[in-house]
Amino acid sequence: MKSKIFARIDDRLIHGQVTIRWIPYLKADHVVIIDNELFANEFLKKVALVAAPKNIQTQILSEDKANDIISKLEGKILLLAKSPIVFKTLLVEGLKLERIILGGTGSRSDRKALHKNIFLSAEEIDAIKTIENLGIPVEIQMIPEDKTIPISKLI
Amino acid sequence: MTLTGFLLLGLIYYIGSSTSFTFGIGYFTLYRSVFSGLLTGLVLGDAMSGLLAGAVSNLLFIDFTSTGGSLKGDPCLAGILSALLMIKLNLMPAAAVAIAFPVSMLGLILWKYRLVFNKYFIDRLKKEIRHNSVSALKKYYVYLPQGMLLIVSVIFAAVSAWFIYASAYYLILKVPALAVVLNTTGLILLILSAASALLWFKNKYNIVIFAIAYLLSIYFHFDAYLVLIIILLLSAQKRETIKQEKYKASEIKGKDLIKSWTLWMNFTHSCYSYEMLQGPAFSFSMVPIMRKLYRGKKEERENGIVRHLDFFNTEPNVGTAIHGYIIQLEDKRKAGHHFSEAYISDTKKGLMGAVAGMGDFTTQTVIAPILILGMIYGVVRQELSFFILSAIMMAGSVVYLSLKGYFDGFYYGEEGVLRRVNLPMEIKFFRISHKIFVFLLGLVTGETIFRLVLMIGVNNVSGSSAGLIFLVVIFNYLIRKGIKPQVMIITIYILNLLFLPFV
Repeated sequence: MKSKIFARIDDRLIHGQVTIRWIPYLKADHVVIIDNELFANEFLKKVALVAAPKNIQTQILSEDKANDIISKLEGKILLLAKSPIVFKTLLVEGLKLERIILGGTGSRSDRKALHKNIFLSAEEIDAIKTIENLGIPVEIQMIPEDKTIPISKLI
Repeated sequence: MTLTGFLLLGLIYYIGSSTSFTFGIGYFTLYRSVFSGLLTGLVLGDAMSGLLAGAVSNLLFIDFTSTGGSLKGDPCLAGILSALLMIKLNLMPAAAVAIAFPVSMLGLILWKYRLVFNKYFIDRLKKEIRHNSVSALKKYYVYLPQGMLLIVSVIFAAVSAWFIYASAYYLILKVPALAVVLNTTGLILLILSAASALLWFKNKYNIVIFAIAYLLSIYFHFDAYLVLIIILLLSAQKRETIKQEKYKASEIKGKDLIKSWTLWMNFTHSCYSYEMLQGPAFSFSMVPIMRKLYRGKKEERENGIVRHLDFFNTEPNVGTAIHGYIIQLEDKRKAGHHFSEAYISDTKKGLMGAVAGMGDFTTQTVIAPILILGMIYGVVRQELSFFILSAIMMAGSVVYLSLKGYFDGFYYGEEGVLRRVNLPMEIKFFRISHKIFVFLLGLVTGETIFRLVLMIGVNNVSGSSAGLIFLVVIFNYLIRKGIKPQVMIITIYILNLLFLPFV
């Protein structure tokens, strides 16, 4: 099975930075959104699928089914989720990833500021530490042209 | 140049780069080089030269986009500086652009400052909004950050303009040949920019379409209006009307939607910060809605405004279907439906990304590039009516799309939002828009190069201009091979300056 998997953490899941910059840059063949809430909401699901670029395959999965389905895909895959906790769970269950791009996690009452547009809660920081211990780099990078900033420097 | 002159240039920069107070139109007009060049020309008493310098400069920014706080260059400053240099130092437009372009990158520093420094106002806003939401929003989201931005950008742009004016004046006085060399540099930069913009959309025939259009414009000089008529014919399409029944509002009327729309469109970026992005603008746009829904109920009204102060970002014009839909949910909630606050907030956030991706595509890669090419075309062909028409169409699209979004989202709810997201797929024009862009880019680049070569005064204008198509092909090839445009830009400057002793 030949596949190369990238992951991006972003509150907005699929949006301008992803469709205009990242998908062409990575030359992704598949986009997989992993989000339980989105998966359960028919209206939002419809909107997200319509908004995805037409020339690549896009799916929306719940966390429990994600690993099974991703393992069957081939080519370059971009995974999108709102929080590092999602990826921690998938990685612990055996997902193989190249790297995780931290694209944008907005401010919330339980999150503290780490970098420009990166706000994370204590639980999310723990998840990132677990991910890094598994040997997968987590780096802040809004768009491909930006320099990467390893999150380990900030937490 | 007097101090007042430089300060006025600074004011143009503030008006363009603030993008506030312009119903969302400023970002697509006043912020672009062609307009900032025109305004600079008006201040300096030579509107036509300013317009030409601005148009040439704008061609370098033809694939300009911004997404979620990331920008490529500063077209507004580039336009001001190009116009200033062309008018005051009597430079050729391409030479003026060659000097202005690298200096305008300083504008990016100011943009970063805005995003970082605005955090101060946002922190105050978060504290104060609980006491009196409306006055806190006005003070910390509009007046103070915009006042600060006014002072900083006027000083910044005035100093940059003075510095570039004084140093270019001195250098060209010492080395007159510099003006000639920089003119060539500017021409080559335009070619490079076109070659790189061709790669914006993937299609292996782009270079062929471009070359045909380029040569057609140089040898036959299409009438600008002919091109417009073709585009209008291609884009004419009636959309099916929504069959669903209109939502029967309990409290909110069209008038309230327009009030909310006015606040949103004028202040989406008045205090843009990484933490909240357009969040406070959303909250601000809810003021007339909450006032209407909760008349005489201060606590509920305040709570409604405060709970919408949350991270939010979308494409500001097309994304307004979200506002309409959220207002419908708020109206229903008031009428007794049991939507939780969290449900409304999650829906808003669930929609913003998806709508932004489609919206950025619609406005920033289809409508704006095509209409801005139209503006440039009008200027270089010296058909001002065409420039004005393109600008009016640009302004009209922004107002129409954003207002319609509000109404469709409100009256047709989910259907209205979905219809908005479906826009690029249902309208056939969007499917061919990239090819049209490439063709127009060829026409406009051809006309611009022709005009610039004509101004130099060579013998065979058509032949010289046409020959430059080979440079487009070479540059296009090099970029596809992975050579970074930045590296090529620096190389172009260095190689050109090496020719200085031979001029």
